[in-house]
Amino acid sequence: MNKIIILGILTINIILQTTVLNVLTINGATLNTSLLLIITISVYLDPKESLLYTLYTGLLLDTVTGVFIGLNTFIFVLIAYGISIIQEEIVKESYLTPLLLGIASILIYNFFSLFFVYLLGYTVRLAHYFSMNTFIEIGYNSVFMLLIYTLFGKFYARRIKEVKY
Amino acid sequence: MVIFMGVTSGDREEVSAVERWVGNIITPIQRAVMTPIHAVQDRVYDIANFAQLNQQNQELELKLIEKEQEIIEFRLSESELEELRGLREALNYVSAEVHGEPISARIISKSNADWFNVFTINAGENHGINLDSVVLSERGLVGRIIETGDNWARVMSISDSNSSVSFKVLRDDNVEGIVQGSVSQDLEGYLFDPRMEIEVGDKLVTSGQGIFPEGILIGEVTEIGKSREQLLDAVTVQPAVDFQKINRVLILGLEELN
Repeated sequence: MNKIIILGILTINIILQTTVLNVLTINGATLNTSLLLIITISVYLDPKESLLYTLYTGLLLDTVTGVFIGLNTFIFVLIAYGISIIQEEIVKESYLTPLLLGIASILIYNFFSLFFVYLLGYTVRLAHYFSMNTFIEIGYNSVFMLLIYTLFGKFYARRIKEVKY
Repeated sequence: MVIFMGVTSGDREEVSAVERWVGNIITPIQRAVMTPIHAVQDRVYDIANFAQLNQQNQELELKLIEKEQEIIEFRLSESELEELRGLREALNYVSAEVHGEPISARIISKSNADWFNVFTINAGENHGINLDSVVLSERGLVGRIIETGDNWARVMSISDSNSSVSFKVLRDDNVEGIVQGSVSQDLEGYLFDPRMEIEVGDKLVTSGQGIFPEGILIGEVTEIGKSREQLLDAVTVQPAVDFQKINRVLILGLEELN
């Protein structure tokens, strides 16, 4: 797939995530479409290539949102690296794959976010991690995870076909 | 990467050239994206509320804000203000005072993590916004400017975990303390003097210590308990501003006076 198209998708996604998607909250729970895209890219693309896209997404998101630069980047790279390790074992065609990876990634993302926030001197309670919002966030993001994963999967399959013939 | 996080976590005098450059490119796009969203939001709001009811509601809200401001002004006695001014002069204390016309701005993007409450507005240095300018909404204190670009600025709200505000109780301005943002949307804090009394329902206003001018509504006390050290009265405060729904803000300029 053309690298410029992927970079374009990731950039547009960040603009949408920080604007339109922030309006579409459910009880304060927001969509982390950057994370969902990174999971999808890490499943389908070559590990080295997906890590570069992950670095780009993390750094751009950190710069645009203006919070600690490196926080999203670090967690995204960690998740992408984890997925690249198990990439060969993943059944890409199963609908359970995006669901399980999505849930695990959101929990890992929240855990490390709170961990770093705590390290940087913020007041953090475990209740924040296990709050109702986390469950709503998982459900909300899972729906979009399925959608993004399916669309990207079809796109990727078409591209493989084009390369073969 | 962790060191990088640490370096960029504190208050910075100036954003890096890369951040400014990215901000100058991205924020106009974000503004363009949010313009129709704001228009739709405004329309949906108008349709959802019958015109007359909406008007009545706005009138009542204005009256309520007016009355709340009157109460605040009433409570902040003139003699106490004079006393504080005298003390400030005696100590040659440098304080920040509000000056100039307030600048109105729209929020064009937000950080989507629960534990940060940082958002970007569509006004920046070109509009006269400086670092630490005070940000308000019609309901009360929103936060302060932490980063500025040419036509954009980032606001850290008072509910951000990195933010703290000194307060006084509106009912009795001898009761003072400090509140800070938490990972939840509420503010948490304590009283400077544990012998002082505070009640659930008490309204808190800024005390004037630090960068925030005196008398701006912060929120209402919802819970009182002992802090972990069991020495100080810990208070939980619901901010007057609903940070989930806020769209427009007012920015006040600051000037240092001797």
